[in-house]
Amino acid sequence: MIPIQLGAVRYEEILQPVTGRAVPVMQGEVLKIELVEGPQCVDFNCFNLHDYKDRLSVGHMRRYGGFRVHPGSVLWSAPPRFNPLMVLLDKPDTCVTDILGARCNAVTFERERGYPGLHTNCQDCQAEAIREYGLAPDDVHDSLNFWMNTGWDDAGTFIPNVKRNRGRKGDTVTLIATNDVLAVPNVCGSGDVSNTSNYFFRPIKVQILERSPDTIGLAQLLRKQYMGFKNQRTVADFRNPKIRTERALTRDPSYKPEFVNYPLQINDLEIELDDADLRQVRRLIARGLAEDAEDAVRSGAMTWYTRNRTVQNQPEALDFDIADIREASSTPGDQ
Amino acid sequence: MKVRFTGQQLVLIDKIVAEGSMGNTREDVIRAMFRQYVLQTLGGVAK
Repeated sequence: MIPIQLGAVRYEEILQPVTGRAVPVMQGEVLKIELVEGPQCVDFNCFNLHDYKDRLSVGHMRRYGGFRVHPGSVLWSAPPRFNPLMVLLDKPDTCVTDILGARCNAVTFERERGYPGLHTNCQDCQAEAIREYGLAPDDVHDSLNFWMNTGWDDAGTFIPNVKRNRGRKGDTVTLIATNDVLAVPNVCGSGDVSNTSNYFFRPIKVQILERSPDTIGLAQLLRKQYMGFKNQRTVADFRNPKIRTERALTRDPSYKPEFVNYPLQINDLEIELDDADLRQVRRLIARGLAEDAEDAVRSGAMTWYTRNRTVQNQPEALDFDIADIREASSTPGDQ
Repeated sequence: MKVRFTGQQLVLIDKIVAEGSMGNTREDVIRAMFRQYVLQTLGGVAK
């Protein structure tokens, strides 16, 4: 892990199978999740503590980091907020992560495995944990799954390609909060009927560590790196800032659509091409890379832009120098 | 030949125009981008 001095433990709890807990973790604080006995899948949800609609999107984690999570991975909230809620500081290689499997639910076990009653599951476990903060079952979102050794085949088939859990006693994942969050780990409810936890349940330990000068500095640097984009919206930017309380959907008769940049502005440009250019246009069309000459020029020019002027996906990383972290911790920030 | 571009595409193309290394007009820059794309995609000029 990045060589920083962590703060003292301010909260600690053992979560028994098949329970979970919603815990506030403030900016600069550190959350640790530890396997206290052995392999156990842990589902994880995360919400902005000050606005529960600003919540983790594992889909966007996939979009920017791939199918697995690694130290440095950002726990992004969904657009239009797109806030870095937390950042993964450390995890052992035996903690294989999953952001494909969503979360198990009671219907899964009834429909797929013929379980006749209500089997423990992460949807219901998360819902029960967040109820402490007034949230509802519908507020549970797709999980970031720690110690969930999923695989997939060429067709993207998920089940039954969950492999044996490689977690070991003492394995610990460490996350830093880059915003004030409600973090929600739970002991996965599928444990006794799946490889996700090697057909058994085991408890986990949750710890929250106070801010230290180093974690304050690191959180500041991470916020500086991942925040400040003008398109990271706030509720103040919303045309409709209200949260619905009525369940049935009805049309707003006063609605007038205001789509972004609509209607599109289309400009005709006269591009002169010589004979050599036109030969290349014909080659592009022949190879299926363009429909016609206009498409060849436009797609060619814009593909050049994509290739040469677009930041390509890079693994998110914790490549800060400790001196920079300590300098940031001594600089007045946005705590 | 006439080529249609959206205003959003021209915002990006104007950034390249401002760089000045690929031409001083939208038309010059688009042609240069197209030719570089061809070179990157198809390799050298086919005879």
